[in-house]
Amino acid sequence: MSLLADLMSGSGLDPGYEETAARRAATGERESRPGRVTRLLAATLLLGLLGAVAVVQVRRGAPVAERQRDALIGQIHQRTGETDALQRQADGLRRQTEALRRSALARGDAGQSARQDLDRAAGVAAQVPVSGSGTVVTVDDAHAAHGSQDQQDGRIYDQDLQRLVNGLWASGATAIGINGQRMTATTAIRSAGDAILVDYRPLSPPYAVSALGGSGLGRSFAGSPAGRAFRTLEATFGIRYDIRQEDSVRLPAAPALPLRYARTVTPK
Amino acid sequence: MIALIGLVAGVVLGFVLHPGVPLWLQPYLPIAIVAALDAMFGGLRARLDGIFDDKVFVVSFLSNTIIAALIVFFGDQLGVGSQLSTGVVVVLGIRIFSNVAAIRRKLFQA
Repeated sequence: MSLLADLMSGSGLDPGYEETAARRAATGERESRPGRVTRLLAATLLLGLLGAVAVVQVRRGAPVAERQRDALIGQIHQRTGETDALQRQADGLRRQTEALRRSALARGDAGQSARQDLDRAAGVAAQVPVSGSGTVVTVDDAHAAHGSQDQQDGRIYDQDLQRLVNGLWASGATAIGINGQRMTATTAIRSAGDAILVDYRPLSPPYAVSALGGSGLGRSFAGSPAGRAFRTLEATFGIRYDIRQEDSVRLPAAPALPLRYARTVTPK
Repeated sequence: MIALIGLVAGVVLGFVLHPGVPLWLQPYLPIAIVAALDAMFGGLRARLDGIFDDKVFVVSFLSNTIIAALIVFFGDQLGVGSQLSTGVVVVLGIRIFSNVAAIRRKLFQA
């Protein structure tokens, strides 16, 4: 029997009933009523049970997924908290070594000049907190892109933030931070999934990029190629983009940079 | 009438008792239900045709569900489980639709 042929001819797809009816008509036999009733009742009971169980099963499955998601989110928060605590501990230890080094270098002229060199280097390497007048550039996804997965237009990507930060450096910024995270020359701005990571820590929009560099920084950035590019993005996709001049911008120190090439001198 | 009572009683039982489905059986439950639906609509159509037979109904119901689950089970073992379940759903879906169309023609003459 061909399914499609049967379908087209409109005949019964299940010939069982017709055959049985024909046989019954031929022989005239009929089973006892109670037996038939029980059989039918049992089958339909099973049918209803099957459907109800499936519905219950699907309903029960949804909260399980929700719970797993919550557990994962909880783990993320917990691990982020642990990283923060370790970072604070590292900062405290760094302050201690800094103080010890200062007091060790305080003796003698050579020590004094070495200390000045170190201070200068630390400033450039973003190892000390800084504050001063500067500019805050705030960018955010377009409103239509908020919360939707498929609406990819009007989202801020890692490349946009990279361009923004590089543009600020080029416009003469002396120190930059994104959402309170200090940027160094080697800080990575990457994306993982939908999130933008700065120094491997996820950021949530809006992205406030604070830059130190005097009162003229905002104007010179707005006129730079990066600034004009963001103006175009704002006009085309409706992203949020504003430049604000601030008298007091405070930036924390960046996490300690690992030494890649320097080696400790083993005293002879 | 009896069938309706059985159906309602089954649904109520399912919701009240919340029977747990063993994990190994879970992938086959949806396909078994589609097969059971096919048997149900086949029975309804036969009833309207006046040729309903409870024995045929019970046998078609049981064999439909078991065979549908078996096909998917073998498909899973062979690594083509999802394709085979799609095939089963398509075939049963066509049957359900044609049965419902026949029922509709009987009931509304349209």
